[in-house]
Amino acid sequence: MFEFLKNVKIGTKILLVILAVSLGSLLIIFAVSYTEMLNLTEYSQEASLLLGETSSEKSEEALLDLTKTYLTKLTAEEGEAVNDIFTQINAEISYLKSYEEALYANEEDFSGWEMPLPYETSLGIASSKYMLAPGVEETASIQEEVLLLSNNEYTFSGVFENNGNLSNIYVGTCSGISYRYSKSNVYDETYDPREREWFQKAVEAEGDVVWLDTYTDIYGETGITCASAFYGTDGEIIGVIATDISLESLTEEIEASKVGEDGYVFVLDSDGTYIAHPDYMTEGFVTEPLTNCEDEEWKNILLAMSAGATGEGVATVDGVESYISYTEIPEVSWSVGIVVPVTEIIAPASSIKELIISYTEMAQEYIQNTLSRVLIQFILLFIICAVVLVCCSILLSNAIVKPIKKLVSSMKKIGSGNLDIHIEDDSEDEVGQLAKACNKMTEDLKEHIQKLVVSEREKEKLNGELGVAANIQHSMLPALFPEFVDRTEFEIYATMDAAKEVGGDFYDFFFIDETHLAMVMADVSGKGIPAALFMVIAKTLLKTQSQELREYSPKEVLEKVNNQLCENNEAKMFVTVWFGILDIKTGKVISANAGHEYPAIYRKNGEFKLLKGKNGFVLAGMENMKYREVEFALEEGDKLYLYTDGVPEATNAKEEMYGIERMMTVLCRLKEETPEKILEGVKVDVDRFVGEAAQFDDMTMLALHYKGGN
Amino acid sequence: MNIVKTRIGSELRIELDGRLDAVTALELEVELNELESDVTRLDLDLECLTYMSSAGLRVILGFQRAMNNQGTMVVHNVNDVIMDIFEVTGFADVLTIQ
Repeated sequence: MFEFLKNVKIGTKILLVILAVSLGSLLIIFAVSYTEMLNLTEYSQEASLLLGETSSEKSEEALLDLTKTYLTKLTAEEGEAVNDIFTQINAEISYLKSYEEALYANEEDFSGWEMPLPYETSLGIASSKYMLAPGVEETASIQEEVLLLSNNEYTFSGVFENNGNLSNIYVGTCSGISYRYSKSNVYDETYDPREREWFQKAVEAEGDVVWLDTYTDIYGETGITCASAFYGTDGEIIGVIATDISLESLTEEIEASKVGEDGYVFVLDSDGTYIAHPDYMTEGFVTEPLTNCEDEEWKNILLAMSAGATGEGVATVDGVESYISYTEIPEVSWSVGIVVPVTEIIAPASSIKELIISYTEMAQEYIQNTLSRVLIQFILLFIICAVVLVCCSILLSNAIVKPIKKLVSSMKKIGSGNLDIHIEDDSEDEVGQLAKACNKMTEDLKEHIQKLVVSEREKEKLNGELGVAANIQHSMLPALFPEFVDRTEFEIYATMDAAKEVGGDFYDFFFIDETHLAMVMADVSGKGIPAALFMVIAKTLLKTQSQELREYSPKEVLEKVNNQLCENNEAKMFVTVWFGILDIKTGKVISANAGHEYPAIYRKNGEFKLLKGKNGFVLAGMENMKYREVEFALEEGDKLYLYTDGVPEATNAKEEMYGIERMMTVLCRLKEETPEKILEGVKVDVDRFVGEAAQFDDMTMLALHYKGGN
Repeated sequence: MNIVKTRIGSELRIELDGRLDAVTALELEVELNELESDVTRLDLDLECLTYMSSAGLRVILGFQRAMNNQGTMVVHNVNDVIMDIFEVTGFADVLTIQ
């Protein structure tokens, strides 16, 4: 699996291993802790958000509860306060009514004074004034009654001054007189108190105090009126006393009790009309909220308030979700309510939530910053570690590789032949052991070379001796003796190329007598000195036996020599022999073949052809072998070619053999040449075929050109 | 050259594959020297032999001589190339060829 590291230098390998192990583990540790930190951050963020949500929800609930309680209490207080105002007014009207009745009962006790008409008074200064309804004559009784009514100022002024909510106090009599104590000086000559609603309602109430819901009076002022009829001692109704409470002042009172930032108090009468509302005086203010009420809850609350109920609820008021608390004002059968926007109630809760979220964000930011810092610190640490590790690794790998490099360079020197190099490395590690082994190897090598030199010398000596032996062997083969040169009957030529210095092939030709030429072509199995020695024996025996012949019988020669060779053949060698005897006068050849290659014969005007026959067994193979003779005649111009297997079995670099066919082809090409040229030509052709390949067998050839007996 | 020896009882079969030349003849000669005396029949299979030099013939002759003393030797599957050599050298008359 680390195949790719094969070509990487050892130093680099060490570096890679150290880096992979240390930086890898650093990375893993960091990855794990960073992931955990991230998880922790996420968890804390979630927890904080949950805390924010929950706490704000709880706070909202608590605040709503608190507000509810507070507002309920506040509403009750407010209702009570408003009720107090009305109760006081009620009491004041009751008191003034009694005064009025007392005034009429004792009219002779009061003198009175001349009162002005309204337009005769100054605006803004509280004063008494009177006017008569249209059609009422200013009779003496009327004048007396007006004078009587002028006494009202003594009590009315005190009440008026004490109660700021009152815009006026006035009296209307059945006789058509209008008395008024006010700061206004508006005069309407068509005004008839007896036709006014307050007058009629008070008359209907028969002496009880009545409250009139909001209405706009004849002078265009909006207000509520408290009225009561008063009676004479005879029980006959005399008139009605009333007071207007300006809503403006009531609203101011209410506004003073503002609730929170946007909360407010309002008063609703039993018809569902606003009596008091902070926006009452604002232009376009709709005084009857039920007419344009869109929110069902708000409508329900308004209806409940009109019915005089006490309670609270949440509704959308003027588009704002608000909390509403309300209670009845018993004095006037109205209702007071307090409206507070929900947002204002839960504002602190929201702010708590926001605060928590902002704290969470701050904490998150801090954590993120810390994480980033940790990341940067880690990267810095990583780089520092990497640099330190790389330096350490380089030093370490140098410490390991340097001796190896030294060893390599020493070994290169040794390889280039300098065996005197001694590698200095006394360490006990593998490199040291290698160095020692190397030193040992060098020593051994030196020793071996020494031995080799000695044996080489001996070999050279032996080669020298072999050379001598080869010379001897060559000299044993017939050279161009005078008796063979310039013969008219034939021309003969032979060559021998030994594979080693001393070969096992041999040829021979000699005269048995004056007319008979013996020819021998032989091949001893094996090479070198043993083959050469065997060859000498074989050659000698063949020649000796031929010359002892009584008849020209090659068969006899071979059979005898075979038995002689078999006698002392410890080396278990053998020799193939072609043996022939040529009658130079007739051209007749008698031959015998002991396992040798077939000779080739050229007939004049023909081609070279192999002379095949039944060959006998090789010489020295087995005793008592029989051989047969072959007879043929050579005509003038015929040629005989003898060879050993070194020719057809010459082998080239591709392990292909030269072969008989090539040999025959070249022989046919050279058929007209002299024996010497034929042998040269064959040799050239074989050499060209063999090329660079080494000759591994002897190559011996003999050629004879028969020129005729004469 | 490959030499495959199969011994079954007293019978030994030797298969030769390749070239039996001066070099490989030495390998075969080792087999000849190690020939056990209780082998009574030697079968030489020369089917895959492509060449035989005189050194090879010498070892074959050695086997023949040895087996002449202790039993029989039969040469099998002699192809044309080797048969030519056997005929030229007269070995065809001496060996038992099947």
